[in-house]
Amino acid sequence: MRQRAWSVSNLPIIRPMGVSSLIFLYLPLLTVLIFAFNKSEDATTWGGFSTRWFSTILDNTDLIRSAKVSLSIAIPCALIAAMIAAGLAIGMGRATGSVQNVLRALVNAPLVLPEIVTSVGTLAFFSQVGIPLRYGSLLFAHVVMCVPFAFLPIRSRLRDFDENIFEAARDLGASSFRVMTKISIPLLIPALLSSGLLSFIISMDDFLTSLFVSGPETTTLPIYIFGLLKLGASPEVNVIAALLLIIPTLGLLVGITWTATRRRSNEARHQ
Amino acid sequence: MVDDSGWADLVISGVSKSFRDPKGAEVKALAEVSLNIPSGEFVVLLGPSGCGKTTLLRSIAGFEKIDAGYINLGGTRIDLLPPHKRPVNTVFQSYALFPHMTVAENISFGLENEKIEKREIKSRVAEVLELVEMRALSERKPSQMSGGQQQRAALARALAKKPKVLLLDEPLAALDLKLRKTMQIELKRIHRATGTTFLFVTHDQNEAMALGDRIAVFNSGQLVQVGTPFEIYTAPTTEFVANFIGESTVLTGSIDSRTFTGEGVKIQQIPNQIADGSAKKIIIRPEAFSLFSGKNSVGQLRIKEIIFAGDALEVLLASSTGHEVRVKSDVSILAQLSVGNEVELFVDAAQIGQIN
Repeated sequence: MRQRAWSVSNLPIIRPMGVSSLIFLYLPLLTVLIFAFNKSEDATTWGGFSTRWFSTILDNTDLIRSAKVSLSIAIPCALIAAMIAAGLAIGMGRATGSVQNVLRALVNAPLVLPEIVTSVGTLAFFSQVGIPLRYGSLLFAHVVMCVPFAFLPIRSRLRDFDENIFEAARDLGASSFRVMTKISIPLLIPALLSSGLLSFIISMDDFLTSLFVSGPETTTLPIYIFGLLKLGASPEVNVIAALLLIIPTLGLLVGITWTATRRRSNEARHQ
Repeated sequence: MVDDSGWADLVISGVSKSFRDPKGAEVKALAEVSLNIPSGEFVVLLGPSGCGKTTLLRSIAGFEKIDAGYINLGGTRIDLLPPHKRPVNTVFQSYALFPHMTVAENISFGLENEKIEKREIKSRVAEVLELVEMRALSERKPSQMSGGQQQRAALARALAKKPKVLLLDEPLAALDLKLRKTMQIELKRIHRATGTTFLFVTHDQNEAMALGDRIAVFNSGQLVQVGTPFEIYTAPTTEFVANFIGESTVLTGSIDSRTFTGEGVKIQQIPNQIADGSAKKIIIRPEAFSLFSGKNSVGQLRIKEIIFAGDALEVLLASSTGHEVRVKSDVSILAQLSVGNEVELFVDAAQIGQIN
């Protein structure tokens, strides 16, 4: 490869900065992975290799319960947020000019609002209206939080389409319903999947909103972990964190391999 | 859909449509346009961009609501129907094929919207694929085809619906010149084979003349002139048409006892159908002129520019007042011409026309 005459990466501090950022990003993750196999009773001092804490957490009913709560929120939240976002994105495509600008600003604003503000607001709203802090209210808060994120991939996918294909579908005699089921939704499936996945991750990961609006029966996993730390760092925390790191990564790898093989076989069919 | 091709005349009557531009000002896209198109005709809507031709096409398809007037097809008013209930189909400039479907699926999509038997759909898909010579590519996705192939697929998809009128919105604009010429011939063949009314929008005058049984010329939302390509070319009624279709020299002056005087030029033997008077505009096509020899001399004119076009010479002359005269000539005289010299100009007076 030919060396370019000048490039930002030639500046003296750029390379060390890049390398150290990567180290700072991944070193904590590596630490967690290693300490998940710690034998010691104390989470932060190394006492030899062991998998004992993996079996302990399976017996920890509080932990299992909070993981179940998190999943029971995150899965429906992902589905509902993706659906609402799809409706918003399709509808916004039909609005014109200033109406569209105002709508887009309203949908995007929560992305830059401090989460503490929306959390306090949501809690204040629930208590004013008299909605008890149970499963429904937590799910509602999570959906509201996820919609602006779920909106982004769908909107950008819609913008990639030739507007004319929807007109062409109408022109070919399709009712609005058939345009939606046969054209819009099939074309949006990849975007709907990434919207859903994004919402799922945001919901699973959320701490602040959940802290404010969860009740005694709706303790989510992040809140439970935070509680564990307050009692003094137990090695269980490392194990949970390691699992939360490993399971989604494996899922992602399986997903990528699956799509790659499918695409390859598709191409082979058309040769 | 019923095959009643004899009763599919398209009647466009007094159609108007206005838009608001981004500043809020009203723009008239169509101003009381009326046009009758008998069943089976190939009509080209021609005009510069923004002249209203596409708006008219979209109004017939149902994508634009017209403000005034009506559109009848085979005796039924269609301008109030939604797009999916109109017996017309569109071929879009961008092809607008469904990216997640194969060619065959794209074509059957339109047929599945009607209550047609599966077997009938299959045979119709095969039939139109045969018509556009795309049989071998029926299982391809749009992304696996060239522009020309996508265009054929889009054409097949629209024709499979057996529309009473096929609307074509600059369908060849994205193709290169050579492919465009091939597709023009293909379109003429397909038009003859199907007998469907074709309504074709373009801004390319050569394409319009190559394709149309009749051409409707639009300018600023108005229908300026309708006629066969021959009529439009030989007898344009306005200066706009004269300049938009082919090249021409327009001269303004007075006519007295069969002699035109104006713009520093004097032309005798003006045809009788052009009446005497002052402030008359006459139009002369480049091929009506000749240099060095002819019957009717216009006098000596200075050569401004010589353009060699391979099969012909285009010579720009300037009259004594500096008015430009365009001459098309045989290439054999090239050696005798040089810019700045004077040359004797002749005209075939029978080819002189008049515009308003």
